[in-house]
Amino acid sequence: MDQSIKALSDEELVQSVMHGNDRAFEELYERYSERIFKLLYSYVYNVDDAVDLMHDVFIRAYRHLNKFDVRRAFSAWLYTIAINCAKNYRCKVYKNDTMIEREEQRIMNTDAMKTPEDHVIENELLQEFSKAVDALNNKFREVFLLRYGQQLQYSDIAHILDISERTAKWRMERALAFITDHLKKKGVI
Amino acid sequence: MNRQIDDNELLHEIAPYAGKASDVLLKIIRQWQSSLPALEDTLTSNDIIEKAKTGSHGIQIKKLVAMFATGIAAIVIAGVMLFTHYFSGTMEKAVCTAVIGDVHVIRGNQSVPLMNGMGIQQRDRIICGKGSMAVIEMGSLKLRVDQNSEFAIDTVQSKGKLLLDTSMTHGVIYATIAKLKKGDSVFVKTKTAVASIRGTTFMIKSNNNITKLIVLEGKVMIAPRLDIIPQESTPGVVVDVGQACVVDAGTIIAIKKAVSMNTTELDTIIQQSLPVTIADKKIIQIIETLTRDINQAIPVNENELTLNALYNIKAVVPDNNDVLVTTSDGVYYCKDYKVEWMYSLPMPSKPFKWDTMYILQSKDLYAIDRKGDVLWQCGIEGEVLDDGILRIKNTIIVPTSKGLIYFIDKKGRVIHRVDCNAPFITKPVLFNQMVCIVTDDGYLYAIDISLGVSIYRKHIGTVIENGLIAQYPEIYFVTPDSIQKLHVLKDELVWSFNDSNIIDAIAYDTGIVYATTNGLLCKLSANGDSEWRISPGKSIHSLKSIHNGITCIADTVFYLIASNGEVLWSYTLPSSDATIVAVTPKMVFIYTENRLLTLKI
Repeated sequence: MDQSIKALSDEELVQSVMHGNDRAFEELYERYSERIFKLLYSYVYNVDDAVDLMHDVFIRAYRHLNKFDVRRAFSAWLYTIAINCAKNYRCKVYKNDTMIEREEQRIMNTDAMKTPEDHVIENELLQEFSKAVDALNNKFREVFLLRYGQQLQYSDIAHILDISERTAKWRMERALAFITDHLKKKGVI
Repeated sequence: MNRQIDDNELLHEIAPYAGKASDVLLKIIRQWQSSLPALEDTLTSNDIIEKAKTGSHGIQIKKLVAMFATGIAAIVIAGVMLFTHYFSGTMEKAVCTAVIGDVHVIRGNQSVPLMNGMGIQQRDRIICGKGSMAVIEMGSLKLRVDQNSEFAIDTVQSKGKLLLDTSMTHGVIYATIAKLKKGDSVFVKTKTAVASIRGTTFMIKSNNNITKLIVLEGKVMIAPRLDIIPQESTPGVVVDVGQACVVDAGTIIAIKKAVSMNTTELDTIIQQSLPVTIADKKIIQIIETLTRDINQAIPVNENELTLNALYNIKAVVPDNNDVLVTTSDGVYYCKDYKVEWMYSLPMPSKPFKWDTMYILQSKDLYAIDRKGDVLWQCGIEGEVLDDGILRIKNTIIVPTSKGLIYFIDKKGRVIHRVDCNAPFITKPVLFNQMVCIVTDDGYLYAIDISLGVSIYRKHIGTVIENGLIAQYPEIYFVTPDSIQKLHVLKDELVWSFNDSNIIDAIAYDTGIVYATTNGLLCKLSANGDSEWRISPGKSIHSLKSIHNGITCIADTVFYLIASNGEVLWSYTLPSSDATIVAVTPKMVFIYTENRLLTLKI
């Protein structure tokens, strides 16, 4: 890919796509597909579903680029689309009780190279952690996934979720308090 | 997007919760992050673009159509801008701003439910069912269509000049409009009459062949409809402020002075015209009953709850088995004597419980749910009056120290903002479809809740803080030296009772109980007769009403039966600065020496 494209900001790339440059879209796709996929996975706990949703997010983004306000951050806009897609999907397809089962199954299937002891201990820790994250109130979980899953600043999270930065921080505090409380009760930490 | 966060930042964030286990938790979080599957088998960006383009063959066509439409829209917008600029006019849309119950719009051949925020178009017909109501606004014009009414917008135009023709098959319309500009015209047609409106407030009622018009402010010209009744008929007349006019089958049969000390005409007509009189009373009763029911479940019993010795307790709001407490540093939600959550908010006002939300102010107005989640935040001018928030249906009424009253819906949107031009000295009270309040300059205001306009203003002088007690259609107002009963709709003083040093008063049954700084506690009947008079103690601070009695706080707390003044029990307080912060049917919450004291009734 042309190095000059890599030097462009997200918003400049969007303008370039709007002028018909599909290579600029390829760069955006490369920058965000993995991150969006991981965020979606944290909602649906299924690789195939997360991939399908990720495709859907980028298809929607491409179709509606003309609605994007280039003065704002493209990433925030893309994350907003992703979260909306994930919420819709979760409402339509899943029941909450199947989530944990899927996640437990996935953790059991990963890290096959570790010793049986490591495997058991880590799986237990991760399962408890996943249970705590999944049991969070939706609003708290959203903030947690964006902060710890995507490592975003509160200003960006506030922008994506259309809430104040103060509310975002407060939701994060509640999420951390809940998770640590859960892990302490289970003797994990 | 800004820089991403690093481990140190995360560790600092986790530490207050995980303590020494922060490193372990961070490690788990990192494992969790790395355990998330990698993206492998996926489409390329070209595949995505292809799908985006071919997902619907119509997308390219849509783009062309959109471009074409954008072009046309640009031409239209430019034309409108030129037009409005040329005529120095502003575009105003007719919009529904409030709707209650079953209200439909007939648009073409379709009937759609009228929704809050929906635009009203030319030739729309609005049908209000039983117990329903809608408010439509267009610039300074506000129209309230009452229950069992059918109302149509025949012509609506506001490019430069306002032109609004409406017609009413049957029902009641209440309207208010600021003074119109030259060339503006607003007409309301009924089966028998046509009313031409200028800057005014009026109510018009149409039933079969009879039209009744009452003018509350300004003037309205009314004439029989010649297109329907072509025979010789009475010419149009101007109906002045305070007059009522009846038009019957082509003839103006009566113009009466509607607002008078001696007539009951306006009273009767207004009661008929306000559609939710009974419903309002029921709602108020339901709210009161619910409040009682909610409060009954408080499990505490003569106990003390210490929240945070560093901060003073400001207010206590019982909620099911839990208690919401505000202090100068924030809001605490307490369950089983433990703090369930705390929301840091500097100097919050006393919370107002609204279904599952708490409304409180800390500069802005906040709505917080039972989980401590901020649902909305709304900017308002001034400080909310303590215990000043009222609720009616899906709206709260919020008076502030700046003499403003905000009407706010459940989503935190300001529906009306009324400026009473002076600070308030009383709390607002519900009065049928109105809210009443008294300002520092001694004026009593009655404000229509649906329209957000003042429809009654009377100078009554200085009253005490709790000195406004509504018992529709009458209001008690309590001054430091007297208690007076006013029939608002007749604008008539019913009786006046003189006493001295009155400090607090509350409604009880159909009468009123008041306290004086001399330590007297007295009950007046609805007729103004003194029923009993006792001396529970010096310097009474406050009175609170409970369903079958009254709690009076002086040097000691008394509980007495209001019907006969019999004192059932008393409790000596540990400190003279004690204040009652909440009273439930089973409990009195008293704040004293930085502790919350609960007394079982």
